[in-house]
Amino acid sequence: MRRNWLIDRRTCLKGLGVALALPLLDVMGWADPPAGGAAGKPPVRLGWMFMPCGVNMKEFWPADPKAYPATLPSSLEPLRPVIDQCLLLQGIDNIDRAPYAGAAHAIELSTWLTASIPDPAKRDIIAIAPSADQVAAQHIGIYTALPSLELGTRKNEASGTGQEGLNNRYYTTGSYRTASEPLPVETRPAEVMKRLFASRQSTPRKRGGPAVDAGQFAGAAPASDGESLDRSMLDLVLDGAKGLKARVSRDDQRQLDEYLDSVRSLETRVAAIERQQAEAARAHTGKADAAAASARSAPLEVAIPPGEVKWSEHVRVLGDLMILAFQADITRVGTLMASMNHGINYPELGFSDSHHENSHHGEDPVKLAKVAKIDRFNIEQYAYLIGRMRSLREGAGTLLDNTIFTWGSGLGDGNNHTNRSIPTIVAGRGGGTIRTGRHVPKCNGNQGDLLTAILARAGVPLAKPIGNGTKLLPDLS
Amino acid sequence: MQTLAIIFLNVFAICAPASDSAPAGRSSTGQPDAAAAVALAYAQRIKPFLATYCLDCHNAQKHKGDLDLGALGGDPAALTRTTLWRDCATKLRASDMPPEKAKQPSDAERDAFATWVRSLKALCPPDPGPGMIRRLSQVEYANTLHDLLGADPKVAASLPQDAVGEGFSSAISPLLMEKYLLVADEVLDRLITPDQLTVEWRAGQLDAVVGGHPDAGRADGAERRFSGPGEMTATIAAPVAGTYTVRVHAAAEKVASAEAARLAVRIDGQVVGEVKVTAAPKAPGTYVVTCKLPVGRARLSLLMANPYVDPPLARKPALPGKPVPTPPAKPGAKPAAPGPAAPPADAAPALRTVIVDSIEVTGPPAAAPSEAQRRLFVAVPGKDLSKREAARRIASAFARRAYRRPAAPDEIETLLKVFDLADGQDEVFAEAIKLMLKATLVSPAFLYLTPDDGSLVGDDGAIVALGDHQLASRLSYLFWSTMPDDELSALADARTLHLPATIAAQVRRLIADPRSRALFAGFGAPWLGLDKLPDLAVDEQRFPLMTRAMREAMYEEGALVFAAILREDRSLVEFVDCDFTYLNATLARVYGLEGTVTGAQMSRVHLTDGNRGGVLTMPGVLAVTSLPTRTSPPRRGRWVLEQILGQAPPPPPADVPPLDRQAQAGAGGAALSLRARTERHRSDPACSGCHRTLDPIGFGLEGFDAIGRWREHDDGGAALDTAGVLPGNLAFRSPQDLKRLIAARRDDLCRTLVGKILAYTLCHRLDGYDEVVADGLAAEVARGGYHFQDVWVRVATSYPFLNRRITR
Repeated sequence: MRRNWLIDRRTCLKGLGVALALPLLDVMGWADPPAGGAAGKPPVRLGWMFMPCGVNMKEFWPADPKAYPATLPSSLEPLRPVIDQCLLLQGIDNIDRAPYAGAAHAIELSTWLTASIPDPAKRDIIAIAPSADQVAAQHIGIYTALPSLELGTRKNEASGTGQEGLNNRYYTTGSYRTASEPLPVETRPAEVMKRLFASRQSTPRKRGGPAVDAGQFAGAAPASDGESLDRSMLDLVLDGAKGLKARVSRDDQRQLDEYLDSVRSLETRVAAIERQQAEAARAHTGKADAAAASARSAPLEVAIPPGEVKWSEHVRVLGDLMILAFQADITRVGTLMASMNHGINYPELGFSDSHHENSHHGEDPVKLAKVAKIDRFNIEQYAYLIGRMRSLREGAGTLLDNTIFTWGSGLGDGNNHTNRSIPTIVAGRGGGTIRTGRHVPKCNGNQGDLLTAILARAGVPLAKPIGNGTKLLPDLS
Repeated sequence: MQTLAIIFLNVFAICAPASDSAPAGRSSTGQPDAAAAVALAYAQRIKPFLATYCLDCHNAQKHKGDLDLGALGGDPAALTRTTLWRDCATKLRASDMPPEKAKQPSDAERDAFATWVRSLKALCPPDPGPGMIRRLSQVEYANTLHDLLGADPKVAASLPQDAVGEGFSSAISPLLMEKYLLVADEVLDRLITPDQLTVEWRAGQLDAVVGGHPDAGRADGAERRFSGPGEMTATIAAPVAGTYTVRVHAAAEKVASAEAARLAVRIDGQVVGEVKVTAAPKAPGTYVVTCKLPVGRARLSLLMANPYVDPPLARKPALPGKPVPTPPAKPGAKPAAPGPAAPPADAAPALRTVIVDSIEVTGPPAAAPSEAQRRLFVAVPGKDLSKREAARRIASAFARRAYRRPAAPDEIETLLKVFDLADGQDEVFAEAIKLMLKATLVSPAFLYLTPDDGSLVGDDGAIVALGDHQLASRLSYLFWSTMPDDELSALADARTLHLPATIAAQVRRLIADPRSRALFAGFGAPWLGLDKLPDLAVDEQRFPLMTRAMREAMYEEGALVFAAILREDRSLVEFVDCDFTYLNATLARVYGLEGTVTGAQMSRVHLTDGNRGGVLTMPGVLAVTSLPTRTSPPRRGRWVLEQILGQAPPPPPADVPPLDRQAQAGAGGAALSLRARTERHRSDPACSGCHRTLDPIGFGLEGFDAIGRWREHDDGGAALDTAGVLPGNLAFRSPQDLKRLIAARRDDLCRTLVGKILAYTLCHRLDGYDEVVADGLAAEVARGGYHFQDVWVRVATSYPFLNRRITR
């Protein structure tokens, strides 16, 4: 029977608490040797991981740069096993908040990947700038089934306005597809898995005669070169929407343009999945390059814990899914909002007062110690994910070698909401474009410059720098 | 202190009732007298004020903060940008501006500026706003699929959560679009199940094992003859789990035996039935077995159950449900290998011969069509009706409901093109209809609330009334979060819905229906903050009572009190002060009424404790305005100011001098109460402006802990002092007193609620003329005695609700 967008039943069952093995690993487009050439170079993947409220600066930045990395600040201690894979960037400023005085936490997150501030003339709606991850997704996302993946441990704010009259979504949204389109985060690992392994059988079902299970003969199944019915249907819907567009106000026409754009993206996505399916079928017939396959690790096994999970487990499983998506080349761009500021606390650490409350520490040693613990706990999850990426072989190196995985916060010291020297760590060598194992005590550029430099290393062509950037941050290599 | 009190009173007195709320005509200016007064005030007082304190930075050259106040002031149209001026007033009031080093205006000057800003709305010409098309929220989408197609609203659970109201984003991201397609697939697959399975094989087409040897089926195979042991196997794919009928057309050659030849029917090796083949080869018979099949692929086989005539060794006949060894599958296996009723080596008994013509499987029996299916298939193709014409009728009827208005001819044509697409690929009718319905469900006319066809008339800026169908949607989604029902649709079709008396009657009908609970989920819960309860961070060690069940009970209490005030058309003042609530055993523990209320069911309770009753002291509200480990008086105070009295204090400055840095102990060495420490903190002039108004209210509520239980000591163990004075020298000693004082500000409460409800309804922040409308509505509601239903009726018949501005 034809059921579109079904995930394999086995995957589904296994998603309910046990491990998942990914069958499609040998069909990554980039690994196919081009005609008459050697196997392709693995693409650069871009990952970001966020923590709000800034850090306890004293426990985060090395007191003596010369002693780095032999002596690590306490918050960075969990990074020791992978410290050679990391680049610690000190002195990067986030964009100035003016004209806003309040709403620091809405702004720290929404500026982090945009290096732009929300439009003060249109506060109650979303009006900012496309975020760096989405700019990247527009260019390198076209090669994968998913242009990008947005993950988080807490749901986005539903609606409403908050401090400074700013739309509440700014508090919980880091990724903006366009200046006016905030992207929601997916918090449920099972939903992420469904999305990663969406598959479809687009051949129309014929009636009568013995029923044949096409899956049994996947190798012989026609690669869907022609348009599937759904894609043709979407084409007609796109066409039809033009009639409606002519009948509505100018403001409404803008809304419909966004809709039309999303339908076009969906067509691309459907086509990408169909292509992936066809390649999977080809792989099953043994046509995939066995030599290339042997150079790669087995797919990452991801266990989805059932029931309510602790924050750290939640971050790890979401991070694992992002890594799996990188490894299988389902996407090359991912953001992980490991924590966001609306009321998050860390009972796992033995205290329940909120991160935000403690971040306004007023130099109180008790609160400062708690902030350092929270920082360290977040870094611990980051270190775990770096370790996972390093454990996966890819080409001549590891997945981590071909990734730029950035961790950071939108504020420097949360106590006074400073945007100075926001904590920033880059892990991975970006396909050999980043010199890791260093601490740069004084970077020569701002957050926009950093984002611009990262995108350039993933081969994203940019007409102009990201946000308030003016150049490529020179400190990465 | 004196000056601050004056400011406070001023802020509280903002709702001077406007003369009218729904202008009969369309004047291009607001109230001319008021406009003249504003302009005069600008020239005489505000212009010099800006020149003295602001224009040094906010001028055409420096343009600090992207703001040129000089240019703005010179432009009469710019005076109507009330949001901008309001932000200026907020910054001034909070002493954020002018910057510390600059010349500072006096408090009286700041106040005068704020008063002038409040008068600006009088300049705004009547404007209902552009009335943008709006996407359905996640909840609305789920409910609509339910009403339209009988779908379980849970199918939309994987969509990103959102909620209509101020700040709602109508953007449809690619992720959302993908989910829409997925959900449409799922809903339609369930609704339009494939026709019954009917498959038939000629026996010769099937693979078999004959006498222990495999014998592959041939495409042109006809009958199959078994003499002695044999089994033939077919693969079937059941579209759904259910009861299927297997019909075997077969005959047996006559042998000298009292027993008839038997064929066992097996599914995946399990015998599910047996038939006795008695017909002679001249006239084969039809033998029937019914069996249950799981969904998906299964192996169906026919096995010779008694291949030998009178076997010398007694063998158990194969019984239904008992596994029978599978015949050998590989060539070269020994004939004597396991098989049913293998002949003993020392005898050569007579073989039975059975000839099977064909096997047919049908099922499951067609279920009676559901209500949703009946509404969908309004036409069936037949000899008088072409497939395309039937599809057209189905498309018109379905699109009328799905688009919540008659579809335009080109919209129907699009749907028919989709039908043709599938029909041209030889899909069966139901499948082609399914693709057409899928197109409907991903069309913009379904996903957005769109204006009636033909309602785009007039030039840019023209103000037109909403069409009756758009109005029906607006009402239905406002009160029920779902598509219009038959009554609303009929009124829209008759073009009589827009009459004010009809709207009023419909509003009261919609409220009386249980579906109006959607108003609490959409408006009430966010207003009270109770939507935060499920994810609220609470220290579980300190508050073990705060279980999932407790959070749910707290939410439910709010929902039921809201519903009672709404359905019983009580005074909205009862939100602040009433003598009833709803409790179950769980929540009763917070109230200290655990002996009185039992059971998990919430029931109405008359309250005798004057400190309880009303949203100010409702446990859920007290919890969401607390920190995870303790209460926060400023947060509670701020909540009351913002949500009840409608005055948002500016955000606190970033670098807050900490509470804890100051001495924790008083002069005598005794522990200072949280109140004493907070009051010290307030001695900082940067804080006192706001905290003088926030804190007294918050401390008045300190008798309730962070989950709303009554207590005598604060979180630090110090004795509580919940007495205080509100501006205007209004003293209170207990939460009960405080409630009464706040309830006495009924006009502030009324204006706040009206404003919030209007913003929720219009899905945008109130600005300009909206404020004039809200003032007028609030005054009318007050004159009518503050009835809560009255608020909704008046909002639903208000000028911005019924009209929209065309932009070209």
